[in-house]
Amino acid sequence: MIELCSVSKYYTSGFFKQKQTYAVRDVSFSIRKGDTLGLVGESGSGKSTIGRMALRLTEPSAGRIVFDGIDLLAQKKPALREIRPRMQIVFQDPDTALDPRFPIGESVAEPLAVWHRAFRHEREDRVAALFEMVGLQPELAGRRPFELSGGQKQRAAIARAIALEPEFLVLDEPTAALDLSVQAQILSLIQVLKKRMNLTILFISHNLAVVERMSDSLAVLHKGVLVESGRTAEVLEHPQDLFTRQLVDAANGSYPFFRNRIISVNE
Amino acid sequence: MSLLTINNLSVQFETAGATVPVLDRIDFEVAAGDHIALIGESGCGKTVLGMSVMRLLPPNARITGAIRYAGSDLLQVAEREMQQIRGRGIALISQNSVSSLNPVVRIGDQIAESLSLHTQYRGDDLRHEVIRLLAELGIEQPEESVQKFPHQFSGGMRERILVAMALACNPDIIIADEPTTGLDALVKVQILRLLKKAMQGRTLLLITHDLGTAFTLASRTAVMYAGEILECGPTSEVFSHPRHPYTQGLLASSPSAGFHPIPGLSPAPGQVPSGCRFCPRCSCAMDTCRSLHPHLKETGRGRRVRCFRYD
Repeated sequence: MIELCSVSKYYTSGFFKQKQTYAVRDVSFSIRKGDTLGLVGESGSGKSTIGRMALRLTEPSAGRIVFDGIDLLAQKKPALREIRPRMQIVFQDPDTALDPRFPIGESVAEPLAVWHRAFRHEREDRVAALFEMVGLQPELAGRRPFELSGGQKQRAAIARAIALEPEFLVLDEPTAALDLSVQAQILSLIQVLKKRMNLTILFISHNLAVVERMSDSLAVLHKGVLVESGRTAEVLEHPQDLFTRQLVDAANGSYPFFRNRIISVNE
Repeated sequence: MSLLTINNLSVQFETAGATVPVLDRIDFEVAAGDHIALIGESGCGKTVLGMSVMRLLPPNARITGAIRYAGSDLLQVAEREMQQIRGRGIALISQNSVSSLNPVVRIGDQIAESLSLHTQYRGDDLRHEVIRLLAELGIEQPEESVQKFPHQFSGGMRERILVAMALACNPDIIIADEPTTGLDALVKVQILRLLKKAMQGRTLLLITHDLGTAFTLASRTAVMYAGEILECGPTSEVFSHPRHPYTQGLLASSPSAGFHPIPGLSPAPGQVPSGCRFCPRCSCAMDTCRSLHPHLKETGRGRRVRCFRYD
């Protein structure tokens, strides 16, 4: 479905732009249709840059990105515009992703209006259907983002992202700003939507435990370089790279009460 | 022998429209050498509880009840006396290392501030003490670091500086508010190790939403929800055999347990249900839960639970 071939992003600086600072270096991976790839790494490792490049929201400095057989980087603006609705992104912070002046119902309806996917009178029904899909009460449509909780805002951001029925979704730390019980709600929502819409997902997170549950395959990023990738269970059980091993140990160390023991939820 | 006793503590905030209750009749004790974690989700009141002990709440907060420490009630003592207690008796490792350090003051001077207020260190002695603290907390090149500003450090290093500031005057009690939030996985492990070592023989009140942090650092855990304590007991017991449905749900929500979500949302402050506060989201709610408010009851082995199922 989507393939990145030795994609790099560097920023130039200095006299005659001689100095190159690499944010992402030679990253290659591919995601099959209907699969989820988890991209993990520390802050500043280039995860978000890769997510944005996969949609060509950030222009890569080098490399090739192929989406459903189409070379994304070779496309001119009008052609790219035709592809855009097939790929969407949900950002980490729903506060900055939603326009604070718009009621969330309008934010969700906006892509439908821009792409003429629904007549004005149909739009309301479509928005209501989308609200139901992401588990938002219909009466919240008139509320502005500041009147909603973090989880509700993230649901609205997801509704907006799936409004055009995309095939490929980039989720950039969708639950980093949320509480544990709300995180669980949003993650299970994502899994339901993935099945229902046969979504291909690039799931970006710093939390290995979250990625473990969410993704079929895993790519580990360290300082802009992909240090390890493979099927999730394999990578986690037999990490080859030192950095991956440290991450796995850290995750195990943080939640020792879940390892080697099934918690008894009902005594 | 308890070092800090909180009795019937309630906090309300007076806002333009209404009075919003945030904490409701909190009772608990911190014994010397105890490591207690307050866990809960945003808005449950855990930070307000820590701030009431430090008496750092904004002026529109109405606090009732008593916080007994060293023979006096912290809610009654004069501000001048409170200044003597802050930093020396009770110290705070505050949330968010970016906004809690002064960006235009060298970190050496920031650490020295509480030392010069509460101890006899002056001049070169003071400098050496600051350098010793930084070295103890694993800051590289402490002699040069004292001259640096907060922005020259990474998040993990800033967290260490905050810990150094809290430990500076050797306080009786340390309140750590979300010490690991916003740190990368590997840095978090380092900070947890550091805190575990630094807190040996000290008394810690840890405020966190991160179950792993609570499990690693605390010997006792109290679970808060909508301004009340719902369950408390020895950490290993609370985590392995959670009794309150909310604690069970919270543990089942964590990714490693398969993130089975709790339906619904935490109530907004001031909009709590009249019966059991968790009842609208509870899978085992009974009729009683909707009409009556449960008390925190002893259930043996040092555990207390606020749930009618354990009557």
